[in-house]
Formats: sequence, structure tokens, C-alpha cells
Amino acid sequence: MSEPDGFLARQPAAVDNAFAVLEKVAELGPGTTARQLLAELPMSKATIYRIIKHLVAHEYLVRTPDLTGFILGRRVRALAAAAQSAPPEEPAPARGSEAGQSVPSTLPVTASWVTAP
Amino acid sequence: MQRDAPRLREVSRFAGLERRVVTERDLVAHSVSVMAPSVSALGLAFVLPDVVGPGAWLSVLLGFGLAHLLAGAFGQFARRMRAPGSLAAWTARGLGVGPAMVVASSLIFGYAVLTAFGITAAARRISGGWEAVSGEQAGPGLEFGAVGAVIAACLVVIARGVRWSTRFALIAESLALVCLVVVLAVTAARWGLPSWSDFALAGASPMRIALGAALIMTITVGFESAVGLAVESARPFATVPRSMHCALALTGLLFAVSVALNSGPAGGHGAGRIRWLRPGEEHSPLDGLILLGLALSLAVLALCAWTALSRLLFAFGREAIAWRRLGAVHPRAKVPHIATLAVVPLVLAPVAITVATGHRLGWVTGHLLETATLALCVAYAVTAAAVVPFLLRIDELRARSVCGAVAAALGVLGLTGVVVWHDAMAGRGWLLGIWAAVVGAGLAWWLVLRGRVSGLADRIGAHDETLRDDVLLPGQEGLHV
Repeated sequence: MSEPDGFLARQPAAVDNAFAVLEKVAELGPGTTARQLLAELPMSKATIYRIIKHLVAHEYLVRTPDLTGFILGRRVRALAAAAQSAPPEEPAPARGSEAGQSVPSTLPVTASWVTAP
Repeated sequence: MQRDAPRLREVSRFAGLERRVVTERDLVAHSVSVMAPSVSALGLAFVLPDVVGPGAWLSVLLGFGLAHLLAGAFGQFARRMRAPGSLAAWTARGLGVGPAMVVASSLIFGYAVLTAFGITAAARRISGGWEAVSGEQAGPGLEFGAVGAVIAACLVVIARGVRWSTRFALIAESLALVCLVVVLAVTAARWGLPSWSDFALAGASPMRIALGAALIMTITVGFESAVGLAVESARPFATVPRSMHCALALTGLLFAVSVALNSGPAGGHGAGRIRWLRPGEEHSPLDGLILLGLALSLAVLALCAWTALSRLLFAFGREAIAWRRLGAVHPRAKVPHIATLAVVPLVLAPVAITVATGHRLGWVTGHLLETATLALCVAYAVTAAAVVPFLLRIDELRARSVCGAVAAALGVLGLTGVVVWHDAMAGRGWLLGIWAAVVGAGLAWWLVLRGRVSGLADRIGAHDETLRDDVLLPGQEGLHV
């Protein structure tokens, strides 16, 4: 079972788990199933199902027409649309950094997802 | 490695309805309205301690506990599918076409009887309210006039659109609940609160407690009616399952308070029975107002059951398993107007039978309500049983879901068995005959469609699939939300 970059299985924060599920669906593509998420993420079955239930209820994930898989939903789409329409900004210097080193993007997956050919 | 993107629809199968406008509060009000807690808490709750004897509170616990189990089983579908065909669509996904058609015919019969019951019972309360206010005997003309007025009012409210009609239900049901709270407060102040000894189980009969729980089922049927509005609801996968539990919790709490009060000194004094504020007096304007409040609650019951039935017929029209025109949507009101009008003959039929047989208004619907409860409960059990194959099919089966669904199905079947046994003992076997006819109609519908309609399995169980505009796909351009 592989561990996603930057994800700590011991970390109890639900928000980390939710982002891990979203990122894994983005990585595996439309139609990712719950079983695939179980195989790919270091979380218990109960945790995966609970997070999926919550993300579907709040429309961050939607189901495929045959109900077996998941796709990034309208609220992720809204985030992507907002990010796409936002005016470009000068990168702010990181706190305590020198020579204007920029803050890493917090949405690397979403950005490449939108601009993929 | 990424999978290929699934084919998504550009336009919904249920296009035309007003999407994402019904709030969770309105959905709860819709579900509460169909259960009409003010009517049951001032009716059945006042007599339940007499019927059950010691342990009436256990009947309440069993009845509402079972309804919550059912809501949990239905939630397995409601969290995954938006389907105006409600339980019929869900059953088709789990158990196939045949059981789905039986559920469909049971739902049509059940919602039609609930609508007719709401209208005739509202007319009787209006008549009773007039008698209490004026002190004069109301003639049958007033009752039949009230029937016409309630039907017209329902049609006008439905024609205003789903946002308006659900909000109307919320306000009207709130007013009815105020009436209920006033009566309960007056009852408690006049007769006093029950003591712990009033809830003792000494001398309790398990059979009578089971019968009491079966009576509770008669007031909880229809709690799921709001699922037909899923397409029109905001965030339905969160709000629809929650609204079922919230509505049951609210109704159960009010009913339990009423049963508790009547298990104490109030029950011994024969409190209630139409004159709650001035017991024993013919002329009581305050009780007349309470009766009019109950009439409002019953009219809203009719409105909400009518709305649920119209969405069901609309879905069958769109699935082409019934007259296709039922799937039409009015372009301005954005409600299924043909399906709404198609309910009128179903509602008027019991009234016509009442006139033809010379009985008092409400006699026919009162009896039909028992059969409708039976039909709906069997439909609930079948739908709960469909949870397991459905979850297996989408590869999301979990032990907890299976246990909940199986317990709900067996519990409902057990209490339904108690009702059947009671009716058979009471010499009301003809009610079972009507139920058998409803099941037979569903099977006949299936057999007719099987010979005439191709791809039947794909048609029934249609749900509002994810649309292309609802997702973020790789390489998607022009994101506008």
C-alpha cells in the first residue's frame, strides 16, 4: 500500500484524509472506485467510506452514472474556476525567507488537472 | 494510471423541474407534514394508553425506532441516487423490475389514499370547527364544500411551484404545531404531569405492545415522501437522508410527550376527544380554532402526499412505463402539471364511493388508510431488502449497512404480520383483499410492460445522473459555475 506524498497516516485530522481522497481521485481519474481508494490510501475501510459519504453529500465528489465510481464534483470545479479566473499575483515572499523565495502552491493537483490536454 | 472518462449526460432525464431550490428546512417540513404530528398527537396519542395498557411508551419506542431503522436503510439509496421514482427506482436497482413494479403500485395506492384521507379529514375538522365555534350542527353540504375548497387550494399552491409549496407547508405545519403545543401545555397544567409509576410495565402484554407499535406505523407512513423532491433539493445527498431522520425525531418527540401526558392523570379524566380546552362543552370557540389548526395540518398532509404522488407519476412518464404525457413539465411553474392533474380522479374516487354508499365523509378513506398502511409497509420492507443487493452491485457492501437494512425489513414485516392477524381476527379480511389487488396490479403492470416495452430493466430505476456541467474532467476548458 503506497503512501501519498506528504500524507501521514498517523495524522488524525479529517481534513487531511479528505484532501488525500480528493487528490487520489484526481490522480486515478474519473470513475475511481471506493475499492481502488481502499487499495491506494492508508486508511481504514470505515474512514474511506465516511469521507466519501461526506464529500459526496457536499458535492466535492459525484458518482458516475452507474454509481460505482467517483469524479471530482461541482464544488471542486468551482474552486478550479475561481483559481482560473483569479488575476495573476506577484508571488509573495515566504515568511522569514530571503531573496523573495515564493510560497509553494497549495493546489498543485487541481492546477495540472485543469490544464491537462 | 487514469481511467477513461465515463460518458456523462449534457441534460438531465428529468429536465424541466426547478433544480436545487428546496432547502433542508422545507424538506423536513414536507416529511413532517405527511405524518401530521399535531393530528396524531391529539388523536391516537390520547387513546394509545387505553388501547395498549401498561407499556404504551414501549410501543412508541418500538414504532419510531423501527421507522428510524427504515430511514437508515433508505438513506443508503438517498445518499447515492436522486430519483423522483423514489422507492420504486431504488428497488429496481437492488431487486430488479418485478419487485419494483409491486413497490410502484403500492406507492401510487398509498400516496393516493393519504392524499384523499388528508382532504376528507380536513373537511371533517373544518365542519367540526364550525360546530364548535357556532354551536350549530353543520350539514353535509359544508363538508363536501370543504372538500372542494381543499382540493382547489392544493392545486393553487402546487401551481405556484415547488419552492413556494414547500415553504407554504413549512409555515402551515408550524402553525399546526403551535396548536398542538398549546393543547399539551393546557392538558399538563389542568391534569398534572405523570409520575414514574405511570410508566411501570406490570401487567403489560407483549402482543398489545406490538399492536401499539403497529398503530404507530399508521402515523409514520409517508415519512419518506420527500425523497421524490431530491432533484429539486439543494445538496440532496446530504439533506434528503437527514430530513427523514429529523422529521421522525420531531414527530416522535411530540407524540411521545402526548402519550406520556395521557399515561398519567389526564388519561384517567378522559382528556381530549375533540374538546381539549373545554372538555364536554358543545360550544367552544377555542377548541374550534384548534380544530381549524388541525384542518390546516391535514390539508398540508394532502398537499405533500399529492406532490409526492405527482413526482412518482412524473418519473414513470419519463421512464415511459406509464402514459408519457405524465412526464410533461409546465414551462412557467416548472412542476409536472399533467401528473398533478392525474391525481384528481384518484382523490375524488373515495369521495364518490362515500356518496354512492351513503356513508359519512371519511368512512371510506379511514378504512382505505389501513390498507394503504399495509401496502406501504410491505413496500418499505421490500425496499429495505433491496439495500443488500444494491450495495453488493456497486461494491460498497458493509456489515453495518446489511444489519440495519435486514433488521428494518424484518421488523416491518413482523409488525405488518401483527396488523394482518389483527384485521383477520376482527373480520376485516376484505382489507387484505384490497391489498392483494394492489400487489396484483403491480405484477400485471410488469407483465404487460414486459411484453411491450424493450429494455425495461434500463428504464425503471432511472435516476438523475451526474451531468457534464457538474464535474471537473481532465482537459476541461471554459469553467463556468
